[in-house]
Amino acid sequence: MKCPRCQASVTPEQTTCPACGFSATLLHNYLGNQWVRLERITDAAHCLRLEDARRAEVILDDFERSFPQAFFAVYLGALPGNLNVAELGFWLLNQGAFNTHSVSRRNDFGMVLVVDPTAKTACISLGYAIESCFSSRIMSRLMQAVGSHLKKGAFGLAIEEASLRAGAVLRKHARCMPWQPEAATLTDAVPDMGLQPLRGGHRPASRPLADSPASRL
Amino acid sequence: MSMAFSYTNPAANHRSRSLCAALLCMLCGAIAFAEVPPSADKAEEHALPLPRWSEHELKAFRDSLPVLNSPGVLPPNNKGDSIADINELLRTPLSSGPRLDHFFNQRDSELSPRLQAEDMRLFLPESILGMPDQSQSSTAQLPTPLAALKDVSPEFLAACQQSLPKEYLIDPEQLVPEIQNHDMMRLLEFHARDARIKLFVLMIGHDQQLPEGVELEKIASGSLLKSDACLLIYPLGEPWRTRLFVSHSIHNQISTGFLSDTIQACLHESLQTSNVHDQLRRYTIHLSTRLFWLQKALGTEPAKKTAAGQSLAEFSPQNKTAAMPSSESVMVMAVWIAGSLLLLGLAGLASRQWLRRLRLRRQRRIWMLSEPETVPRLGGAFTGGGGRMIRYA
Repeated sequence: MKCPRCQASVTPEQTTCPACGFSATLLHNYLGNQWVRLERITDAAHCLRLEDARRAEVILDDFERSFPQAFFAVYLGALPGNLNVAELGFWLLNQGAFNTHSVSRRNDFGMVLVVDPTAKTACISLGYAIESCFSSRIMSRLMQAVGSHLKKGAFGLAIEEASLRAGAVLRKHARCMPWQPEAATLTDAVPDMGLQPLRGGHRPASRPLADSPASRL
Repeated sequence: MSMAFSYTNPAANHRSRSLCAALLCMLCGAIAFAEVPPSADKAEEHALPLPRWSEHELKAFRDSLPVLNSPGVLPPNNKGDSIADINELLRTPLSSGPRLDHFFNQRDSELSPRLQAEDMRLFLPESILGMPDQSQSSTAQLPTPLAALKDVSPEFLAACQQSLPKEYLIDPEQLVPEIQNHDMMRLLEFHARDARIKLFVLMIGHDQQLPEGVELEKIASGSLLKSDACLLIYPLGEPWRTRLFVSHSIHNQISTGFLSDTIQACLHESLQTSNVHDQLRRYTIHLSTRLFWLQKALGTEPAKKTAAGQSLAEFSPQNKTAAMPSSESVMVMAVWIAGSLLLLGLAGLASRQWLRRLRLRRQRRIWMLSEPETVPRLGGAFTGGGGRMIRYA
């Protein structure tokens, strides 16, 4: 693993970077230590067209349906000079509450793609649970593919490419099993009581499920 | 003188005029008789009457020449045996002419002591001679069983080898009648005049076959090897057993399909008739035409002279199929079967994978990740700097 700030190698159980002294506490002083709520795609730089954003949402939906534990989030924005994309990715995975399908998804199964179109930099931050699936070689290829799209300004394609490739890598380390719908679904009387489901099926899936709770709603 | 007559008396003048008129009449009568003189023969004819047959003489004549009593020689006697007057009989018109068949069937006839009806058949149709049609014996018969085929005799082969170089129809046993033989000879000579590939036809009986290992290159005094040639072994009446030999130089240049088509077309053409001689003629004509086609396809340049000691190459559909070694054909068949099975297996595996993927896609599946034991780094609760950063500018 490498330090988000100076890219120096970091061994486990090191609380600060031995080269630059970077730690989560240092970021808390600058960005805070509170949880922030984020959508899966945050386009602060307004780089995505509406069509690209919708297509990226469908792709990320498929990713989350295939991997019930993991999620893929995207942040596009111009960062201040004293903050790079790796530091922001580090902070988002540790302090962000992403609006995913399931509340139970933990951030250590999350991946965050941070792109700074102004500085022409990009970073993918991995949680503890999945970082072992991505070797240095795989990450190099993945970032090379993403960078080729970003170089052409195709931010939507970059998101799609990163999500699909990450899914392909994770399938090699995951156990396949049939999907079973969740047993507890909202009854018809619940909407009359003003209760709405927090997540799940809030947008149409690319492959509609016959017995999914969303289709019943 | 005129003065003297002018001074004579009128009575004398009248006598002289009468004398002149009489002389003139005598002269005219003499001229008239001189133009149509009476013939001496006619006078003799009128003098000698024609001989007239008496009934006794007629009976004696009939008894002495019994042949002439045969029907057709003398006019029919419609009035029975009693002939009143032979002269009247001779003057009556003939109701039917004499028939040669009736005439020559009398072997003891004095008029035709040496001619027989079989001899007349050479230049007269059988229908005129009143003989049974010979073509009935020339119609095709049932195919000869293979077990009943017998090899031709060595004398037959010797006669074939001694045939002349330009004797294109080789028929030692004279299976082809004379008229058809001459027709065939003219046809083959005409073919040889214009074609580069000479056509030789060797006639064998319907129950004969060539023995194994026969030296065909010696046929026709070895003329088959002197130029491009085609030898047709034709069993009379069984064109489906014909064997076709061509020079090696030609055999190597033409395709199997052409020769197969040629033989099939010739056989089809010959089987249009049931007469065995017509079959031979049709087969030969069609083969001659096909050889002209072949010559045109091969070009005008003559093929190289066949090497000495090199026999002709036989071709027949059965031979072509039998020429392939059995082991090789089995190997080819095995390769084909193995290839087909392999392709079939691959197709089956591919279809199975495709169906499996299709079933998986229909049956939604999820992937569950394991939860490893992690040690926090850099103070991060969920991530400790995992990932990669790039600059894509």
